[in-house]
This record gives sequence, structure tokens and C-alpha cells, in this order.
Amino acid sequence: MINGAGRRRLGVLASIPLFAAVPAPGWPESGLSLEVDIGSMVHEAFDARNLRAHVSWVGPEPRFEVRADRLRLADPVGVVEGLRLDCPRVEVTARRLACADGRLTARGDGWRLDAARLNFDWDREADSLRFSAPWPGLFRGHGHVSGVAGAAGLRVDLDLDGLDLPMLADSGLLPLKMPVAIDAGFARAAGRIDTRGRLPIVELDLSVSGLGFSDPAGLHAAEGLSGSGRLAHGAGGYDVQARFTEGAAFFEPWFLDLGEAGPVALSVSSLQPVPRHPRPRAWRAASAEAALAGHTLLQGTGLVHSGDRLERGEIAWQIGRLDLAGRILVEPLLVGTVLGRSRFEGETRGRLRLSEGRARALTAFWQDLGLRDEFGRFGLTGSAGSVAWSDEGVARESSIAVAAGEVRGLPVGPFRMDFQLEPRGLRLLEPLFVPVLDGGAGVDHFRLHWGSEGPEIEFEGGIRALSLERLTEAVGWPRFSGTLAGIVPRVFYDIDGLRVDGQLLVEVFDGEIVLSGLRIRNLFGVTPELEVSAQVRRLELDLLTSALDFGRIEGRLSGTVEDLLLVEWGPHRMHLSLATPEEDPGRRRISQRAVENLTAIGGGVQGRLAATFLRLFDAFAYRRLGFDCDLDGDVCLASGVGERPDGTFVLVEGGGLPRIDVIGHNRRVDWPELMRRLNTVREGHTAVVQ
Amino acid sequence: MRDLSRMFAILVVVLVASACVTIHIYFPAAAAEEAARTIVRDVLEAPDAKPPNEPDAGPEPTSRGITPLIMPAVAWGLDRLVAPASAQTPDLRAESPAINRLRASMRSRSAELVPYLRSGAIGFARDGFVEVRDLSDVPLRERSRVQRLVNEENADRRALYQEIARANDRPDWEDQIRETFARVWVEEAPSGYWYQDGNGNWRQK
Repeated sequence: MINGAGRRRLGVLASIPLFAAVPAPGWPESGLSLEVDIGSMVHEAFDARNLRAHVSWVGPEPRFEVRADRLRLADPVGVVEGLRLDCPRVEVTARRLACADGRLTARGDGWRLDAARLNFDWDREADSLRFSAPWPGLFRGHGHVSGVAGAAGLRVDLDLDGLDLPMLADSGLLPLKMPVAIDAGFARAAGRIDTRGRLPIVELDLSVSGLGFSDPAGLHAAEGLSGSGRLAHGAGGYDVQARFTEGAAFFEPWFLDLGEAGPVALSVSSLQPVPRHPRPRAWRAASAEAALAGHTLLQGTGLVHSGDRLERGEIAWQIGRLDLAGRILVEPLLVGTVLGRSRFEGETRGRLRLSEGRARALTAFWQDLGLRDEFGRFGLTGSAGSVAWSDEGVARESSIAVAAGEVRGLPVGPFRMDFQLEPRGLRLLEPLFVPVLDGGAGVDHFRLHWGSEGPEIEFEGGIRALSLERLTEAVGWPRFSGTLAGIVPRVFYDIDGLRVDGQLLVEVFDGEIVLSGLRIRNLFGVTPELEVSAQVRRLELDLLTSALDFGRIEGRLSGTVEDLLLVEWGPHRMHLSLATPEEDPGRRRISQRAVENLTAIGGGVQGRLAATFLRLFDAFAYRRLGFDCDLDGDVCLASGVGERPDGTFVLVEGGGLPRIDVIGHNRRVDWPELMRRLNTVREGHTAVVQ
Repeated sequence: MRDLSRMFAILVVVLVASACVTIHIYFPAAAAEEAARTIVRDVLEAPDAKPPNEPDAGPEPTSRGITPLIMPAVAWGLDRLVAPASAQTPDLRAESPAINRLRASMRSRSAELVPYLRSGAIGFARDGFVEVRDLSDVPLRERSRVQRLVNEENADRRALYQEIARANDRPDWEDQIRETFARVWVEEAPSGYWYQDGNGNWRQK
């Protein structure tokens, strides 16, 4: 090997051969000995300092010994110090030098050999060195290693077990710079490493048990990981297969307990660094696959990773149990978004293509998909569909079908939506109708384009005969009968939410309420807000008070509700002005119970005489009634149909005999308290007029 | 003489018409800081007291509007006559249903975050958000929970900064509000908490 055929460079910087018949100091005593003090030797594969060889003939076979103070070998072995090879029985011929039962002592960075057993056979003509040795106990391992070294390279066959992985990682002998610190685990390795060909070949069967590791910030870590696999290196790079069956791992943002989730199988083929890539840690792989517990399969092809992000490749997924995979894989990605507290079920498969670090095309299919928000804001069941998107142009048709859904307590569906995704937008292909309660919401035309200024929306649609009874029940209001309908010619979206043009007509209590200026914000957020203005036209008070179970009031009611802001379906701000209309007010009567309830709600207490007197009558005529309220937060500044000199205001102005007026004294009304009292009255716990 | 008077009158009209009245729109830094401190203390469950040596930050002009290089004298006069916006008490609206809900949400999460803030697993980042600093001492099984808490807290904080800007009809104030909060979170953090300095390095308070 070192006497090379001209291909190797060998330099003997100092060679002082010394023949002596007496032992030199420090060498074993011998009959005849030959000592060669080579000094320094520089070779392509090593660099030895203070190299000395000693051959002695004590018994029938010569004894051979080599020492070097310092030997530099190729990485990952590096510098070896205190080298001493002692061969008690050497077989020397013209061609061979064989050592049986040799002992090797040396130390390096993180390892040390003390008289480790070694056999070797050096064939000088073939320029090859065969060696075999029991594993010297390095890194607490055991097993056997053998091989052959020659001018062409090195082949090592090994079969090792019980290797202490933290010790091995600390030794610096691993050819890779580990991005994590290994703090526990043992490994078994069996196979060969062969560098004699044009490309190095590695074929190793590996298994680990109790593996624990972590990066400095603890974002990539594992505990008690056990598994097995195979590592091979050939012309295409590395091929890796691994299957982990025990332990737990956290790879931000995913946590996986294999005992609960099931085994994970990973494979990568043709993994290799990317030559001439601007980032040194860039790698590419012909394909990669990850399978979780038999229900989730991720496959990638043509992958190029810059070290920070996936730059190119095609990723396919197939998930048979979204209820299991969703919790482990999908939910951690959605934390902090509107879907961050959702539970999924169903099946999905699809494909995503990336290049230059950006998504270029996507197809996805799903069936039996269910989604349920933990906070009950929305949900859907029985969804099936497919979507296709490409950044190069209009993709093929997409469709979504939903068997049933729910938005803020409102049941919706079933419906089907056919649409086409554009690079930065969406276009509805067929009119869409979403059944809501007894009616529904229809969309005749919809197109969304996400421009530099934000989303641009084209919309034409309407609301068809929505049942008010179920709507009010769903949002927790007093139950009203009637319908809600309207045409929505346009919809806008900006920082203040979704603004709906057009008017919605609510037919209720034999009158109507015209809604306009509708704006919805944060529908699925922490605080959904709805802004609207309303014109109230001739509601029949008899029906209204019956619905509220308030006591009977006959007459009509008209007015306006300006700038109404509902937060979580409760009013937070409004300018309310409702009164009996001047024209055609109709028959106007107010029942004794209604008067009592009005008094109770107002917190007023009638005098005993007045109360006794009132009980003589079932109902009273009135001339007009009305209530104005400027609500801001919890405070309503109230007024009625008339002002009185004493600063009070008239809520109900009596007419005829006996005449009864309902007077308001408190202009600053606590709105939540008012609502609480109204509910108390409705629930039948009415305060009795005393 | 009449022509001269007319010319003078025209000149005055032209000067008045062409004068650019400087309009300053200020970010109410002091009010924002006060609002931020109230909210931060509420979330951190600290008593709402004014801290010692609190800088009396004045309003900072954000150079909105048009400022001519040479302001004509008449415009200068107009500017003096019409009180500029800076003369008004700078104010910041920091209450709305959405803001209150976000505060409540953050307050209810605070007890869960505190152990990790104390241990240094997470800290206050220089951009007004919470960031994972070192999870290595957190049990493996808890790490995704910490990550979830951090992400949900940051979603609330992002929404809070947006909502305060929106409550003041100034969406463009969001960054300044966030920067104010970033400073106040650190100032109000109890001793032992970790935070990022201006260079992004972690320091312990």
C-alpha cells in the first residue's frame, strides 16, 4: 500500500535506519532485533510522525511492533496519538506480512483502544491489507469488524451491537455534523462500507432503541425512539428506509407518540447534496415517503430542499382517517386560525406541486368529510368534493358538496357548489343555493379576484324566504313568526368586513322591516359583528306582544333602527325610534297585564290605590306610544312620544277613560338589565303590581 | 387707487386660496402607551398603577398632509387661527366589544402561559408577540401545547393591535400600536421573564 506503484505519494522526511543486536531502550528484550526509525512519513492516506518499527526474533516466529507518536488519517478518524501495534507472531514471506492475534493501542478524539485485538495480512504484491478484529468495545459496543484495504480503497464489513449513541456522537467519528444532540440510545449496525469503486458503497442495516435527541431550542426532539431501517449509498446518493415503532417525537409543530398514533415508516431514495447550490445545506431526493399507522401516506418526488424550505417537488397525500391524522398532522398547522380548534373526519387525497418555493398547482379530493368547531361557530358533515388550482391559468372545474352544515347555530345545507379556481381568484360556474332553515341563500353570480389592493368581489344573489321563527330561535332571540327575503346585488369586502348592498325584506307581525347597509365582520372570529339599519313599517303590536308573551297591546308600530351594531347577536349600538304611526294607527288598546309588565320592566311601583283601580279594567285605550333609545354599550338614553315639564317622558299616552299614561323617569337605562327584566316577564315571573 | 385696492384684494384671495394649511395627524403616543399599559397589566394581572419614571411622551407628528417649503404669511395666520389637531388632547380609543373579548381571551390564557414565561421556555419578542425561546426543559408531550398557546396568544395579539387601530378609524396605526405594546409588554413583565432586546437577543429581566 505504501510502497505504491507510482500512484501514491510517499515522502520519508527523515529516515535513519539503525541495525542493532542489542535492544534499544524501551523495547522488549530480544535475542535479535531489527529497529527501523522512520521518522516522519507522509502519504496520501496518512501522515505519521515519529514512526518506528521493531522486529525481533525471540521464538520460532518473529515479533513485530510499530509505534507512532502521532498519525493523521482521513476524516472522520482524524488524528490518532500514541499508536502502538504489537504483533507477537508475525508471518513474513517475500510477499506477505501477516499478524495473528495482534494488539492495537491508540487514542483519538473521543475514543481510546487499549491492546485491542487485531489480525491482519499484508500482501505486498497485491497491495492489499486484510484485517479482522472483534469490536474493541468502543462506545460500549460489541461485535466484529473485518475488511480489506488496498490502493483502490477500503472495504469494511461490520456487525456491531450495543453501540452507545451519545458516546458515538460525541466521538466525532460520525461522518455527519449532527444538527441535534443525542442524549440517549443504543444502535445496532450490520453491513459493509466499500470505497474501492468509483463511488463509495454503503449498505447498512441499522436499528436504534431508546433514542433521545434534541436541538438547542428543543424544537426538534425525541425520547425513547426505537426502530430499524436500512441505509445504502450508491451511484444515486443515499437510500434510507426506517420504521419507528416506539417512543415520542416533537418536530415543531407536530408531536407524535408512536405508542398512541402507531408506527411511522420513512423512506428516501437518491438523497444527495445539490452541487453548486447557493445554500450549502441544500439537498435533493428522487423520492420520499412517510406512512403513519396505515392510514396516512405522504409521498414526494423530485424534491429539492434548500435547508430551510422545500423549493421544488411534487407531494401527494392520501389520508384514510382524518379524525386521527387531522389531530396529529393538520390541527397543529391551523392553530391561531379560524380552523385552529376544529375536529376533522373523513378521507382525502391530493397532490401539490412546488417550484421556487411556491405552490404551483394543487388537486385535492375528499369524501365523507366532517368538520366541527370546538366553540360551535361552524361545522359540516358529509362533504365530498374536488378542487383544482394552478398558477398558470384557469384550472379544471372544482366542486364541493355538503350534506349538512351549521353556522353560528344556523343549520344549512345540503348544497353543491360548482366553481373554477383561477390563479388568484374563484368563479362560480353554476348558481348556488344554500338552504338555510326553511328558505335559503342563493348566489347567481360570484367572482373573487385577489388583487394587490385586496379582494375584489362580484356578487349577485339573494335570500329566499328564510323562516324567522327558526332564525330567531337559532340566535337566541324571542321567537318571531315571519320570513326574511331580499335581493343582494353586490357584496364588498374590506378591512371592515363584508358589506352587502341591496335591501332585505323581513315580513313579520303583519308589517315589514326593510334592512339595509348590512355589514358582517369577524363571522368566525372571537366577536362576530353585524351592522345594519332598518325601517320598521306598521308592525302589528298585537302579534308582536303575543310573540313576546308580554301582555296584549293592539295598534301599529313604525320607525327606524339606525346604525345598529350587533355583537355576538346582541345590540351594542343603535339609534332606535319606534312609535305608533300618525297615519292609520288602527285600534289602540293596551291590556292591564301589558301595563303591569311595562311597570315591572321600568322598575316602577304603582300606588296601592292605583293598582286596585287598574284591576277593574282588562284593557285601556291609548292615543299613541313610542320608545326611542340611543344605545352605546350598555347604556341606552331613552325617550318616548312626548316630554313632560318635570323632565320625565311619555312612553304611552292614554286616550279615553279611564286614561292611563306610562311615564318614563330614567333616561339612562341599563340595557342588559332592561333585557333581563324583559326576559323575566316573558318567562312568567312578572312582578305583580302592588 | 381702486385698481390697486382690487389688485390687493385679488392678491389676498389668491394667497388665501393657494395657501396650504398644514394638517398634522398625530399618533397619540402617550395615550397609546397608557392604553397599552392598562391592557398589559390587566392581562398580566398586575395592579393598574402608573409606573415610576414613566416617560411623558408627547405626540409625535407623522407628517401627514402637505407642508409647503415656504408657508405664505396668510396661511401661517390661518394656521394660528384654526387650532391644529395637535392642540387637541390626543386620545386613543382602546375599548370595543372585540377588544374587550380579546382582552378576556388573553387574560384567561395568561395563567397557562405564566409557567412557561417564568421558566424561559417562551419570552416576549421585540415585535409585540410571544416567541418560543427554549423548549428543552419542557416535557416533550407539553411542547405542542406550548406551541399552541403561543400561536393562539399571537393570533389574539395580532387581532388586538388591529382592533385598536380600527376602533380609532386608523388602520395605518397598527404598526405603531404594536411597537408601543412591544415596549410595554417588556416594561411590565415581572422579573425573571425573558425578552428580546432591540437586536433580537434574548435577555432575562
